[in-house]
Amino acid sequence: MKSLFKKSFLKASLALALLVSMTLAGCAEGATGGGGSSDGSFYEGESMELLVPFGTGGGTDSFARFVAPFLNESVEGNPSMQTVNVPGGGSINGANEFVEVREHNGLNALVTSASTHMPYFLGDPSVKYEFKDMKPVMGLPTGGVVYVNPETGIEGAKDIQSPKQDLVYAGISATGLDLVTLLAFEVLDMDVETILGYDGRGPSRVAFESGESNIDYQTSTAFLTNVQPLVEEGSANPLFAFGHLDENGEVVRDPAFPDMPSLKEFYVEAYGEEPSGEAWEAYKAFLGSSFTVQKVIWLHDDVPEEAVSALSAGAEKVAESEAFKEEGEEVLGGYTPYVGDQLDRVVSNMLDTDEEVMNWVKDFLNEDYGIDRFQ
Amino acid sequence: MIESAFEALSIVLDPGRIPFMFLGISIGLLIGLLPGLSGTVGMAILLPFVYGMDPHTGMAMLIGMAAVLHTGDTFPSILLGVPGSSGSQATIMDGYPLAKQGGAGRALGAAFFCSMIGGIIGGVVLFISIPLAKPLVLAFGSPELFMLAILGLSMVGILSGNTPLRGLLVGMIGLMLGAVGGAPAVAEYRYTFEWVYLFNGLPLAVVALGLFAFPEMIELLAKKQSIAKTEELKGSWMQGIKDSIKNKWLILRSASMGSLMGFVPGVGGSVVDWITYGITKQMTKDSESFGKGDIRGVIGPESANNAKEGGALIPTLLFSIPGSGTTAILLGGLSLLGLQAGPRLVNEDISITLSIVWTLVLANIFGAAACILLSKYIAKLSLIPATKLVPFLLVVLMVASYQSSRQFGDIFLFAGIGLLGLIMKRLDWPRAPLLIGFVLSQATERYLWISMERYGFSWLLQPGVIILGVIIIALIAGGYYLKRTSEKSNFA
Repeated sequence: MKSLFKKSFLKASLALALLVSMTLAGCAEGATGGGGSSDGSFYEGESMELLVPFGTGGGTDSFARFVAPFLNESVEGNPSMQTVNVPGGGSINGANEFVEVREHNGLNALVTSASTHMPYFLGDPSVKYEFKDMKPVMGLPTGGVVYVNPETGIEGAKDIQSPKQDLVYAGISATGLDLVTLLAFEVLDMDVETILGYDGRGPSRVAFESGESNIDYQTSTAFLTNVQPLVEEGSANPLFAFGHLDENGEVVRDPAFPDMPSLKEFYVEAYGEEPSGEAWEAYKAFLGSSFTVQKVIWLHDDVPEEAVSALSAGAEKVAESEAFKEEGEEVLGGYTPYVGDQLDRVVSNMLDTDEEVMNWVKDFLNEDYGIDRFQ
Repeated sequence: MIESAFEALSIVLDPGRIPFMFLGISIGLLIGLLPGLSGTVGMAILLPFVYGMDPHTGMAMLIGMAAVLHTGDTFPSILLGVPGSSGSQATIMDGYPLAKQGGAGRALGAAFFCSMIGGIIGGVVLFISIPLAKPLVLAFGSPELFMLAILGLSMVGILSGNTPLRGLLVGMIGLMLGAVGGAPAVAEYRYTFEWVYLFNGLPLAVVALGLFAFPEMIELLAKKQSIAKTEELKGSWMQGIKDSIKNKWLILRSASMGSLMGFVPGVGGSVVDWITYGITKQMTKDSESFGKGDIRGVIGPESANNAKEGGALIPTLLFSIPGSGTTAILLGGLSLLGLQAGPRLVNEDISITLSIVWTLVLANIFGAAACILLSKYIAKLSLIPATKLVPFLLVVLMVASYQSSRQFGDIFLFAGIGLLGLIMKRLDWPRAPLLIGFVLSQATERYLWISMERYGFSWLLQPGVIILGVIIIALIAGGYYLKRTSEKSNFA
């Protein structure tokens, strides 16, 4: 009995040791001390952490994990890249942690997505991070396409004011990516009943397919895999793509959908004039931060200059690499990441928001959706 | 399709891929064995390795892990009375009493056998539903999903034994705990006190561990003895298998119910075991022995929780709607492997889907075999005196809780819910209803909200809603009737 007990105890401790090492591997607190040996490059022999403020397996996490080995190859000094997930608070947690807890030493980077940008622009009280105090290294765009059920009788821009059915949109939350869609409806002056609370874009697409809603949008990759078959069998009509903000802040066609009109062109076709007004300004602001630069890798802006230049140069090399584009088809959704000067311009466009426009959006959210959290 | 199925089998059995499937299986068993760690953790551990693998190999590893998780998690449930993962709590109800009576071997044998059969049935259901999935998924609109959540909630009465009122009350507390955090439909945060930790709601693993594991640990310490009161481990695993074969219809019924519930996204995935346990108890005439070590109370939930995985993969793979934390990460794994969930997995990439089916089946067979081989040794855990075992387990549980969001809130919450669980256990209040309320809270609110917004009151007249309503009423009334008659016969 005694020896028996010892044996199983041994096994138990073995299991514990395994567990601990697994956990440690999972948390991987990484190196702390600053880098920069006098000879050689800043990242020589260093280990870098990519902080992902979402759980494992989401879009942002996949992006970070996909990019990491390429950065390791291309950044001078070949730093090892660790992806660390700090989920919670709809990504506010992790971003706060990056600013407040992580050392500003060039060995920590943050990967954000539209869900991190949105509360920042809306002035959420829990946001402790300031993008103006960060330096972008790489940005990834995505896009989205709005489509309707053919039974609504909407075939093009001319029909949007006279649908045969009441339009119903199934969304997740007015303060998420849906905001861009809601603003698009506002710009187009479309009468759409919005039902929020769906569990994700997948369920909202199922709602569209089962007839619970009749107007919907999907992001680029999901549109191509899941909605394109519906278009081909005649049960969905694509209307317009959200488009992209170019370096001058103008809405242009989405590079992934070169044949699809952007919202701007769609508006011109419907009303015979260029869109303008507060809703349009708001649309452009959130289009920039939600789609045009949907994911960004940031450094703190007070890190050594060598760190910024080494990482930026590495990112530029990655973006040009053929292997990166080829293997990344699914993760990148057919888009080319922004790097270098172009990245700086699109990001400063995105951060350069008009306070009046933001106040208009807050009022819009309060009046139309009863959200007074940002007032 | 049969031809491509065999082609997929040869892909799965490729000597270069088999080791990865076994790697997945061993991680799955280990994660299951360690109390409190669930599939989400397993996926998170394996995901980084997936990058750069070919899709079949990567899937074999991930699915191998997910398939056997609910085989391995039976050990702590039966031997220690501590849930091995959030999907194996109901097994405790009868498995743990059996172990206390020294019948751990028998309970484990039955559990592994049922897990295996259940897992295989889940794989078969996934295979069959590939062509049927679309109409099936589309048949469940928001009103139907709401009714399914209510069906789950109606189990509260059955699971509260002789104190239905207490059960109801506890279930409501569970619903309220589930309401903490961001509301499903509006950008409002409830009961968060501007503490960012609470924004995402309470983590399920922490609530489940606190509720079921913590009180058990304390009780063990207080009694200062080992779990099994007898020194010998009576009952071999062969006996357990024989018991299971005697209850073959129960296995079949529970497994089909499990895969059906797994298939409905967002509803019930983590309470499949409780719902099956409730229904098993409900549909048995002589149900007094349930909760005191009835082998059928092990067979039901164990068949269901492995079958669930097959069902849960249907909406995940074909509609990219994750039904659980595990499948949500699996979707990320797919995109790292260069695949996108959706109709393509039934057309161009059908070989991937079929190899997933095969992996499910094979992993369940190998996993169960490994567990049966190991059970002789692991069952001896229940002979270890509590004072030596409990400190070790508490550490594991703490680490497991902390894994949920890696914030100190996890530890506080674990202790808080743990104390609540201890009080409830001491006062003999049922704890399962709290968990059911907690898990189904979001789905109930979400789908009720959407149904009302979309249809007003007219959703109540949809055929699916009426059918589910009748089933719910029949289950409740049937339970009441069976209880009355058995009480009468006891009296006589």
